[in-house]
Amino acid sequence: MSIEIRNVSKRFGAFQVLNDINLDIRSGELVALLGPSGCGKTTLLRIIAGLESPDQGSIVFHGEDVSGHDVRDRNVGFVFQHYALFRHMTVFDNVAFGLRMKPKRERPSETQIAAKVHELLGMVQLDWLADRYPEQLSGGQRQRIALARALAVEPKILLLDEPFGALDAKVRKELRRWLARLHEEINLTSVFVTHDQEEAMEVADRIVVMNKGVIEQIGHPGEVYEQPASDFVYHFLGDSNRLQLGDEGHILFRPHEVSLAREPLAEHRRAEVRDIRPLGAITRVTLKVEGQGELIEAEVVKSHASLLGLQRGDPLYFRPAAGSLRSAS
Amino acid sequence: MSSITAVTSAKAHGNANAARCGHALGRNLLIIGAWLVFALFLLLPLYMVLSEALKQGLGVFFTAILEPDAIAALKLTLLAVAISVPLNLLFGVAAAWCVSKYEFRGKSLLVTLIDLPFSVSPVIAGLIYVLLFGAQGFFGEWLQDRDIQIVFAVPGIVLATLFVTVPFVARELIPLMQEQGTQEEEAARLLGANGWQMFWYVTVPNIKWGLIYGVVLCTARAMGEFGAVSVVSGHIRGYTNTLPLHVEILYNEYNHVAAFSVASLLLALALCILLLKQWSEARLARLQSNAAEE
Repeated sequence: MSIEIRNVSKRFGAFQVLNDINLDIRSGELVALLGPSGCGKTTLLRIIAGLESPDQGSIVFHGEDVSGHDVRDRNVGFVFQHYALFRHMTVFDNVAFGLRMKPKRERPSETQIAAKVHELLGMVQLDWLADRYPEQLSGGQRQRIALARALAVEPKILLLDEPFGALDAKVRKELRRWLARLHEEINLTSVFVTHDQEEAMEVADRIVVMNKGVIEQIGHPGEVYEQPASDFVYHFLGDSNRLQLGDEGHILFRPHEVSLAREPLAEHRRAEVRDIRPLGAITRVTLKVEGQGELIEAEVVKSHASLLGLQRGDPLYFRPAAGSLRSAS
Repeated sequence: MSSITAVTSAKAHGNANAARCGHALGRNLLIIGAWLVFALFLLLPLYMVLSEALKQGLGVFFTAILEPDAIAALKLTLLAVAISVPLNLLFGVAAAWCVSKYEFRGKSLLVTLIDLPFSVSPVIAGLIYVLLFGAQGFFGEWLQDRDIQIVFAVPGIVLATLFVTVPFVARELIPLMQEQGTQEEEAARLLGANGWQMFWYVTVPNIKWGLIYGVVLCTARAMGEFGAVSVVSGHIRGYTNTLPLHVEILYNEYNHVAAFSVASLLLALALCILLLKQWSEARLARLQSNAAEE
């Protein structure tokens, strides 16, 4: 089911949270709303779900304007950052909740409900936890139960608010890969909110970068990374260095887009090594350049020739890679 | 290296033990003191009430509490409880819902006003009703024209009881519901629950123990209320006397045995309520510690 967001604006008191947002999400897409906290991404998600109403604009699901529809009539699955599982219900009852709340004539029998719940728990690989209470589960398990609960009513649209934000790094990585696979399998239209660019890059088909209530750029992960539409997008989608060029302004480049040498080379600038950090496959070198306070970070493979025997305080010569330059005023 | 650590830790352990011994003396003194105060100010009066009541044997005791005026007082007390507690339950849930789920202007004022009956003397609360509904009161004439008696009648007693017990349920629920937030309710809505289903299947189970605790406190206060009820009652025997008022009348008539007999009836009710409170409190504490662990 496609989602169209038309001229949506929202303000909380004096604070303009969303300013004339327009966005088309195609059926079956997995879209990330990416931005710093306070950029309005969660509010936009809640407006799509019907938990908040926009001051202006409309939400259209598959050609039908649902702006006036109540939350419960929109049939969207929603996963909260802090799970929002019903604490006094077992895992089974949590997942069964949506089916049991259906009006009598649409409600499946308890046997059918049990079958459906066990099918969903099997899908999230937690069938053995059916009789536990939420407080007895780990964060990752809770989030998977929350997902199973949201999917029980067979929504056409799945909305996820920072779904992995409260989990530790390793579980987060596992879960987001799992989510991407799941999205492939059950063919939903999914929108998820995140402030983690790596997460957005890894999971989403398209990324919507937001800042201060407006959309900065919409594009595929490669697109927003390689061809950022603004300085904000460039900064937000990865680490960046700023190199001062006398009075002519400065250029921006990413830490890995750099050439390093121990000897003076053409077009290379001289710098002093401040720090050397081996980070696994790559090593990060922090450089101090004459004439600017801001330090430069360079990342190269750990076997790079220039790293051999390199010590703090040594001179090093660097040049931002030619294709990567981004001039700014 | 490891042996050094072992020695140091043993030493530290010894020091901690010594410190604990010093603390133990103070601790035991405090505990004994607490029990003494408890015995002197709570158990002894309790014993006195019962021994006074039974001084002339069980027969006199039962005559005193089965006397028609005493039965009428018990009935009126239970009636006041039966009306004021459910109404306060409704009001408490509604007020707590308002305060914890919505943002609106004047919210802190509302929360402060809920506490008003705690800070105002019950006598003043009673006087307010006399001034409003008494014969010379604000609504006095209007009520008289329609032959409605509020002050010095049962409605006045119920109103006064209502006023003094207003804060109990709301006070108990507001912090609990604020801590729990609105996400579970939102999740229920998103899963297709209507307002009533959401309230009944999600909100009520979450606040159940706080609710019971509030109701128990409210019941205890409603049964024991003296000041406000005394002002509006008029002390008409067998008609507008509640149990506490009846006790006072008997006592003032130097009918000590009867006074203490009826008092022990009130005491028995209070003890039942106390047990209920203890039970719900324990459940509530467990619930909150679970929530805190999350």
